[in-house]
Amino acid sequence: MNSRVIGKKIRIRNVVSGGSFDTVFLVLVMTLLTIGLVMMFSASYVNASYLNGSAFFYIKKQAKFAVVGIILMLAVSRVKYTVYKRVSYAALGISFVLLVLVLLFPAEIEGKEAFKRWLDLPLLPSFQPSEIGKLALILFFARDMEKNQKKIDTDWKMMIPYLIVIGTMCLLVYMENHLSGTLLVLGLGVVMTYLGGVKKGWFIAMLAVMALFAFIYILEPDKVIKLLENYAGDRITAWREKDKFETTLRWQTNQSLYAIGSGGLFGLGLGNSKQKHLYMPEPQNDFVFSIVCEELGFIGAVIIILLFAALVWRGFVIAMRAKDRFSALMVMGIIMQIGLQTALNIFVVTDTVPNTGISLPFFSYGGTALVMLLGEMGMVLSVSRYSKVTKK
Amino acid sequence: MARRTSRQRLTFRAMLVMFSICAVCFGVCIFALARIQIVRGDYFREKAANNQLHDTVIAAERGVIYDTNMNPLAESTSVKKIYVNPSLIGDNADVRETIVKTLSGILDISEESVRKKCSMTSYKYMEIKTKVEYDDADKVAEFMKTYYTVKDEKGNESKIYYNYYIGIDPDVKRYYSKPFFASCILGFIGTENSGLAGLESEYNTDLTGVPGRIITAQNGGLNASSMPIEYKSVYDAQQGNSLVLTINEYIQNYLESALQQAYIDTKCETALGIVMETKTGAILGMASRGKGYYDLSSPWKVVNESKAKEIEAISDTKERRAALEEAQYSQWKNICVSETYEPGSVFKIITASALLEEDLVPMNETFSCTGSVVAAGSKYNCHRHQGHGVQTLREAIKNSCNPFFITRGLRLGIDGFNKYFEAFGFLERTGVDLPSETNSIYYKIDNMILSNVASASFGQTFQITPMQMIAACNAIANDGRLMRPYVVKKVIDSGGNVIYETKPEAKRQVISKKTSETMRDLMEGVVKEGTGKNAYVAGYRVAGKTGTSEKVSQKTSEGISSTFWASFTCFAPANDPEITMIIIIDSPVGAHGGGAIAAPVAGEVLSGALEYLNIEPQYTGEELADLKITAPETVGMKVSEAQKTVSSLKLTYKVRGDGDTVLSQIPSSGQNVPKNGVVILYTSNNAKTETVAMPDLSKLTITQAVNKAAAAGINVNITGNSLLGSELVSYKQSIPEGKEVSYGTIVTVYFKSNMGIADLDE
Repeated sequence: MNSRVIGKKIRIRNVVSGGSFDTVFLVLVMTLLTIGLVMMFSASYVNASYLNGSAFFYIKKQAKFAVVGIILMLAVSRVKYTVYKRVSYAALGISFVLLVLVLLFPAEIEGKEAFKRWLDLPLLPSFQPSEIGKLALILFFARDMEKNQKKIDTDWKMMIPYLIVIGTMCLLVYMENHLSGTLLVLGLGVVMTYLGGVKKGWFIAMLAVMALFAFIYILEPDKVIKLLENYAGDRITAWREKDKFETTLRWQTNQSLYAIGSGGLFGLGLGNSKQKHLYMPEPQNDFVFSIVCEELGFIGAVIIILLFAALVWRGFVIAMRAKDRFSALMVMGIIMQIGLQTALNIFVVTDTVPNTGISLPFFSYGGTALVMLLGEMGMVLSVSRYSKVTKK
Repeated sequence: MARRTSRQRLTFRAMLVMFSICAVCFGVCIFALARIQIVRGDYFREKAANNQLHDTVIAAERGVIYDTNMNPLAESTSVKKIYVNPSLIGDNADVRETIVKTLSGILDISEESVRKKCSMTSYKYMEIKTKVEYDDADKVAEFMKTYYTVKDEKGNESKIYYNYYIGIDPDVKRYYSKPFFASCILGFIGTENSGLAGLESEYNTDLTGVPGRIITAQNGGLNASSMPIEYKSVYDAQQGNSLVLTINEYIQNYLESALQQAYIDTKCETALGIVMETKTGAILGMASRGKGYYDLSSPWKVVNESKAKEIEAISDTKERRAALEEAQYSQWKNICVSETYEPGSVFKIITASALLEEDLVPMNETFSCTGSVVAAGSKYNCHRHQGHGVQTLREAIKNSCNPFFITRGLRLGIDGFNKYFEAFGFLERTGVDLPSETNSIYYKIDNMILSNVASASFGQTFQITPMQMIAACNAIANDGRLMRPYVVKKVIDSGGNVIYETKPEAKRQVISKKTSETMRDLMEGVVKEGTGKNAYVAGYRVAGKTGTSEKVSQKTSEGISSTFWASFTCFAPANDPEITMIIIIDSPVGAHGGGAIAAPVAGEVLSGALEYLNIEPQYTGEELADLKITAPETVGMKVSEAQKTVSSLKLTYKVRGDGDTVLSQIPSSGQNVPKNGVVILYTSNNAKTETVAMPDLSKLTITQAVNKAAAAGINVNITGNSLLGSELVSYKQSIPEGKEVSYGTIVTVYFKSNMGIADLDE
């Protein structure tokens, strides 16, 4: 397997021309973005026309942000990646400040008062500080692990700042009432420490503690109720007892399963979802993929998953060819974040894990998140422009 | 293994992470999807369908009930029902009041009841009114298109249409051609569109049809509407089949109006009648007043007004409800098949038939009635205390002599009597296609003793249904064949195709054709000269038998107070019977003899029905003589000449106008004029507009009535037994006294006899 991948790498090296960014990656991004926009529109227009007065309510907004995002992506791809290296520590600091700010002054969204995920700052559209936090975390790890590359796998003390950063950020995001965000931060942190190459024993110990915690968390949600907010406990209960709470806790998940199941092998055809007709709550958000499954069927869904897999693969190829350790780790972090989030989202819509509220990159409605995502894609493209191949 | 460079180690780790994400995470995703979409796809598809598909029932249009000539008696029309969704109104008082005011205004119901329904906010569907006509439903629909505006905190206005709260569903309404017409036969339907009484109940399955379904995909919104998706399966409603009855609207009408009059005249509890086609057993008419009579379009309303008031006055809710229910059941009950009565002397025709069939009474055998007889150890009185004297079977049946039938009946013995009792169908239900038919109340056959036969042979000590009696009488008329009575001639589908057709069914030959012929002759004597003379119809040979039986006898301080069943059963024409009839008057006040009060009703119905059926009249010579007078031609004659012409025909004349030449006459030449009738001679045209007040023609003999009418310038059409001259007395006239009518108007006057018609103690 290893040799095959390396073989591919050699072949591609010969093709890619110097100085320009990775076209394959860009094509994959644009393909996913296009499919994502089309499917988000398909999923959203019924809700939009019933509840917002216009079928184009969501797609118009999302399309504007997509245009902004594409421009940002192309602009960022022109920025030399070393800039990020310089701002990485500052970025972490700022993100912590924002994460505290959001807890103090959360933007209030009707019906979602319990969640403190959004922040309204002057001159900026409202955004989720946890999104910034994740990117800052990636930059921090990439930077710090490059700097301390020598002692990272020998000195156990190296674990301490990493654990503090991950722990603090997890706690802050968790206090937003944002379980999925917390899990993503945790996952990112863990994988980044692994990629950075910390002392193996310590890494395994950390994993073991986390696994134990997760085990208790999932099987005995009542016993950790004091640790968890009520809503998270409810969601786990709903996930475990699939025959109950049909019209309450499990409503959205059940509607999702009905939608996915209705799709069958070939789907009902683009635009033909029935579940989006006010059965599935907010089909444009976290559960957009179930409408995708209903309309495009198993085959369509698998193709989309393979596109995400291809994006991940291409991202890692770019990382492998990155000129230095920082850019490699940064690209891996960004790419991994997309991969993890995608997988987690599909786990949720398929009821494989509890409904934690996690969006699907490129598909789910959300302007600032999309702009940030495309910005991050720009950063990957920027690294691709300085890949080792170009030096030859 | 050589130590790898840090770059190689990073590559290894990256590979591992990428592999984890791609193979493990995405692999699990694909696995989960495959499980949901392919393995358990059907399960979730079904769940989704339950969610999305909404079943709307299309009511099948209920079949029509036609009379025998395809005149609709009961029809269904599609209408609407209006409902609200109180859960959406909630505590929004403004909206509720608007809805309450508007709906109560349009639908003509009290605001209070609408308000009450709108306030039941735990319900999503409350019917405001069912059976709403299209006009009103359209008004509601207009209202539903209006809206009110609400402002949220941000000041955004939005419109809320009233169709959010109100809905219109299809409904069906049953229309009946006339409100009370044939109510005991037709029955009615309940709120669930299913028959609750009569044919509506008996043939409910045929009439109902199969409801259809529209399966539509609806969205998940609160006020679900259809999805803009091509998904609509329609299973058409199969319309209910229609019934074509044997009931003839005209004959039914004659029966209904004659019974109505009898009900008023006799102040009875109930008056009922059945008219049957002799040769088939088909019921041509069936009606009652009192019990078994209600408004088809509001069956729950108590028809008897004094009874209704009485019920209303009961203060105890429970008692009132019980009284109301009792009154309702009583008026819904078809007493022609669901109640029994004591036939009394009418039953003598059965005893006579049995005796003739068994050859136990020679026609020339005489019996001397002394007013009472001792038989089988008991003494029985004849209704005529002084006795009927010496008589044959013919005279005994004519006079309805009890001792004759008691002594002759005993000749049959217990077994012989019961053989005919059973053969004539008195131990079984007739099998008529009407609900709740009941059976007779009779002795336990094994325990019978001979004195029971003595009582039963003149129709006492047991009870039968009117339907059983008419069926048995019909067997006598119909050459001895007992027919199963039926009301539904055929069942047809909505396209008019015959689904089922009733074939006349002869249950058995009860007596021989010869016995039948003899009986018809004997019974004709009853109407010609005996107790049934009030059923005589000029030009028709009517055969019948009267009956009067005691229902309840109570000793009071003033003596014995009794109630009676007065009945009459007959058929015509006697030589070749076409229709058979029974009339029963339950508990009349005053005159209570079958010959006095039931026979005239039968006569009235017969004269209408026979004429309607185009049955050729067979006038006797005397009748023909009466009919032969035709008006002479006087137009153009001098008045004096005309007067002479008219007088020469033993007719009177009346001159109107000042001229000296007759310009026109009524009746015109060639038309019939009753004996001693009047011819109006007009000598000026403006005299034709003159009117005269109708004189009172009641309680007069035929001659008196005709003369009194002629003096006023009015001609009389005589109905009733016109053969019996002087003993007849008029009791009814078709145009009320005092009404202004034009000269020459023909008024129908009804006559009946009060002599020699008794068959029970007077």
